[in-house]
Amino acid sequence: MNSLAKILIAGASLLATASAAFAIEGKLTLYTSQPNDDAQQTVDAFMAKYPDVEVTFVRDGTTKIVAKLRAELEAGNSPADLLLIADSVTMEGLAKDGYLKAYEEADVSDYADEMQDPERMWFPTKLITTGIIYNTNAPMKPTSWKDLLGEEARNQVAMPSPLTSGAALIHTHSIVETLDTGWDYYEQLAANGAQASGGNGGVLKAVAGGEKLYGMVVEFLPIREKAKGAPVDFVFPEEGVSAISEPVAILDGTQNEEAAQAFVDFLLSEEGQELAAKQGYMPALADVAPPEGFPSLAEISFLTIDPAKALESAEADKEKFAEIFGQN
Amino acid sequence: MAFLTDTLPLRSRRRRAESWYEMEGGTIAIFVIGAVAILCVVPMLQLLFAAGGVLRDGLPRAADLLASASVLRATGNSLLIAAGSTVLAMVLGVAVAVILTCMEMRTRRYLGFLFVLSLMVAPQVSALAFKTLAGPSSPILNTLGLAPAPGTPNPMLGFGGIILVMGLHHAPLVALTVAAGLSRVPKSLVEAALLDGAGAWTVVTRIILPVARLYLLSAALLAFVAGVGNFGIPALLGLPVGVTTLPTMVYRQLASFGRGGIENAALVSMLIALIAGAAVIASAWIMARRDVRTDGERGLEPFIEDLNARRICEVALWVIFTFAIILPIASLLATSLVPAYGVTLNFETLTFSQFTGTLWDQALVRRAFANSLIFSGSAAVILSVLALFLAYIVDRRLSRIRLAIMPIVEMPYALPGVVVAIACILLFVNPLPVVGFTIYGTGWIILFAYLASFLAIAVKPVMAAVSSLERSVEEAAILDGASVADRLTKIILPIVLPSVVAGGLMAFLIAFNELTISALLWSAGTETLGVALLNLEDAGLGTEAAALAVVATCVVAGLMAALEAAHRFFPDNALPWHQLCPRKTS
Repeated sequence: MNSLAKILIAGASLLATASAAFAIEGKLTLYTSQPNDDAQQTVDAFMAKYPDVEVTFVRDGTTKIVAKLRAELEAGNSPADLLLIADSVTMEGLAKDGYLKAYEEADVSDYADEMQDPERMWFPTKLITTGIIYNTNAPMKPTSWKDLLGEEARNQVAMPSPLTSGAALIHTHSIVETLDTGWDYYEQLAANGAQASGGNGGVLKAVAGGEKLYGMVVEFLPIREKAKGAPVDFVFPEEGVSAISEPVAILDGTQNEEAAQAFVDFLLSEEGQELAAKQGYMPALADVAPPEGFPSLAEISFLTIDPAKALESAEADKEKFAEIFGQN
Repeated sequence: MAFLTDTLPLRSRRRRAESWYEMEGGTIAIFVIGAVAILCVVPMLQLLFAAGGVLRDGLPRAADLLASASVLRATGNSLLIAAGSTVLAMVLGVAVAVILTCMEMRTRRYLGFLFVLSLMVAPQVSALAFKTLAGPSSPILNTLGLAPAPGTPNPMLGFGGIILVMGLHHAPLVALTVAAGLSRVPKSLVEAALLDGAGAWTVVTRIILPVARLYLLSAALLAFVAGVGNFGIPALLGLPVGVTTLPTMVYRQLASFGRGGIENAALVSMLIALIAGAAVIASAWIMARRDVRTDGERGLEPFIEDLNARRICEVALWVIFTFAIILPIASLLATSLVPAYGVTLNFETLTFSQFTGTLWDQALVRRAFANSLIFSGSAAVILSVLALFLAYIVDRRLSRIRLAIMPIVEMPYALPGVVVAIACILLFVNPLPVVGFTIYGTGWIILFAYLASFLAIAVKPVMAAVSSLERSVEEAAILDGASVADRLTKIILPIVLPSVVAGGLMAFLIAFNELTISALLWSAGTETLGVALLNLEDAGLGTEAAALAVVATCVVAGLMAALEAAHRFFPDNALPWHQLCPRKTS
């Protein structure tokens, strides 16, 4: 091949990339575990920026949406282009099975390294911690995880089940790995009449509705509802909170990689992070100020875990939890 | 050979006139049989094969599954809940049916309408309504100062609540079946007893109920089957506290483990089909043995004249309906009018934002409305056409196999929705042979399941109308050389159109509210109203869920009111709430 042809080809491909970046269009399907209204706002903000892209989203709890996705992937006809779910452990599992597509050029230079996937298969979009919610009519104001084991909390604790919620799975693993009581803590909770079922939404409803007085829940739900007037409050327990990063990933079978990458870029951009903060989430980008009602990142202590180990023990954790709380 | 008759010109005209009745419309007959086979037979065979496959591959594994603690527990719960709710539904349903049939009261029609409305409201909406009514944050109980203390579990969660809500929800079903039986009690029997000096109580307990006993039994079995198959009520009131029934267990397993569990789900749904099927067959057997009233006799009409008794019953019914129907819906409305779940409703907190903005801003909700309208609307239109053909052909050409074809048509409707949904997944999960594509994961699979499930509903009134048609008009048309198509469109359709419309609208109403089928079959972009409600509940958006339930209830009530306004155009008893209140003719 002569050099002129090489130059021509190089020029043509350069042109192709440039025009592709220019004309981002088509359809995108997002599978997400975000609450409906947040998913809607995020999608709307993205579509306002890229009016030629039409995004449809499908929402369900992390476990359920991933089960649906895996079933479709195995059948070879999933419409999903993007996945935005609670936790990176589930993402690791999907990446391991070859269902995700790396986006190596993603600009993550401003993000903390320890939150990142070195293979660039998934990207953290927020920081969501699990702490304690309580009804403001409750007699006790809990400050420690151990307070949920006391007499005042007997039959009054609601918590999400790791069989449904990705955040709850990480949370369970974090508690078991970092509190010196291990699984014993959950056994005592069960003995104290704690109820574990469904997702975080159910916990919020039970506590806000006064059916239970205390609960374990992701922080943004009670903080947001409190601002709307609901009789709930949230505490970061003294031992620390578990955290997930609500990662986003591009699926290997995406039909519209450019648009999917643009969606990831948007979530990682300062604009996307400010939107997250406005929605009432702790942004993953440290430069963006957290929303009202949140302590600064430095004030929160975390129950830190090893994600690889968490993935390894995920199934065993679910089984153990189901056994303790008598679920199938 | 039947089709040779046309080639035998020597046969008498009389003979011809008899034979056209049974011989023509071959194309339509093939179409109808094909449709029934594809919609009603193939999915069930597929389910049988899948369950059979599990049994063949490993009897021990299948036995392990069916005897596993979770399946045993769910089976026990299902039976307990179905039985408990049946008892409650029978007590209330029979009482309402007897009162409305035997007494003429001023507000009889309103009572009947309200009662049937509570059946037409989606079960998950009923469950949500009772849940918001009874808990510590109940807007109505709080206003009255009667709300349970904070920290008290919602009494509607768990067995008691499920049985109560389900029993109340199925009571109208019992009342409708019993009313059909009461209308067949010969009027002369009652009159004779009254002449002999029997009191109203004696007439009801010693004459009417014993004569209608087969209908009572059949109503109980119907309520039991509905209880075994119900998904919406135990999903909202049982799952949050870990009480699973067979349908909610199948749902949870499929939802959490994806298609991997489909074979187990098939086996469990065969178990559901077995329980429900036994009751359905028992009911069919009972109804086949019923005593048929002779033509000359008129059916039961209101006969209790005692003004005091009528007033007491009227007030009692209004009080019961207020607690069982009006208060829960009012509480749902109140919950939808506060900014956040758990906030007490007063003039400061009152907001319409869920209705004006929040709900409409969500593409999911808009899509769910559009989807529910499209799926149930197209199902209703297709079913209306199919019902016309089916009724005509079964009445004419296939009258001999009527006894075989009708149970097949009714089977998918009688079976719980979860069984039909799983049969559809099994049928379409792999690409179809020959054509090579699949409707799995699209809206078509939901439409298919609706067509299979609700054909029986659409065909019922049309069947009744067609079989009462006089042959003479058609015979005259034949002599004039009118083809089958001509006669169907120009003679039959105009006469039976009201029945076709009534059947289609009933199918629409039921499909519009449906949850069980779509909960298992939805995928990206094909969420229905039921799925959206469940999803909002699950995400903790309690006030939004309440608002959606209010809107859906208004749609149903509006449609029913429209049907009522147009009732003149429909045949007698095409509207279920009219069946409850027979008119006095003399």
